[in-house]
Amino acid sequence: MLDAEIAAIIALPLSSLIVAIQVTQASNSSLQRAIRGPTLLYFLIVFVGNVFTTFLAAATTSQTIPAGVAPAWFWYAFLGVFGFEAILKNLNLTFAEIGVLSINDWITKAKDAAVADVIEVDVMHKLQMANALAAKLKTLPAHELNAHVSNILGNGQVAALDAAAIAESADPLLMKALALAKGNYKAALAISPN
Amino acid sequence: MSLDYQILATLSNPLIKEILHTIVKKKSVEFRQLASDTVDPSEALQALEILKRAELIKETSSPIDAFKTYYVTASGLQADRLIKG
Repeated sequence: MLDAEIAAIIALPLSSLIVAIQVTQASNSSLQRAIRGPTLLYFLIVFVGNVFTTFLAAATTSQTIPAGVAPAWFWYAFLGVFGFEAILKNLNLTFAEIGVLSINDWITKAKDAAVADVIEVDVMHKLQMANALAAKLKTLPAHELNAHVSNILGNGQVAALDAAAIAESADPLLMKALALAKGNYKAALAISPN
Repeated sequence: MSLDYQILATLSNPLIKEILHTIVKKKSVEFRQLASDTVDPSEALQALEILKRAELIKETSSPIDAFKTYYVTASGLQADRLIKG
């Protein structure tokens, strides 16, 4: 197998790594929740771009790579994958009357779609967990719930949440149960009835 | 990349711009966190409605308004990046 072809294969895990880091970091979410359609589409675009620049690196740097430091395929993969973003951002080229910068915009849009999708999934997941926990906490006796609110959320929170419930014409027990579940999920889970 | 003129006009309001930026920075924010001492709750609610109509943010339902969560959309991420320059 040629060095350029090995480098293109190496671009696959490297592209996965870059996309995983970018999407999870930008969405503050876990990798498990990031593996979804829009992220895979973003990955596909990045991977195709990385393979293209890997072949470009192989075609243009084969005479200049340092000998004996690492195999040629490693250099091509490294230059191709990590050079892809730099090439797109720093070169104002046109290819078949399509500006490279507009391809960069395209990639950014795909990334935004992936990040926004993961944020939505993450928000819905946390909401479901908090609502389920609040429903359990609401069954605690009022004085016990108040004691937990004071302990976990701080003194004065019981009065503040009661006042907020009156202002919203909401159930004060639900208000305090939601405040606990959303304010400190782990501590609230520990005190929830089975 | 271009932004709709209507969205640009929407984001010319400093409070709306600030609220969008806060949501983008934190990814998702509860209403009670947004409506703090510095932001009047009714003004914050109005700004959130405008951002929702422009599809720059989305909202989760909640039996209590204070616990409604607002989170950024792909258009919101793009708009925030462009207004920051």
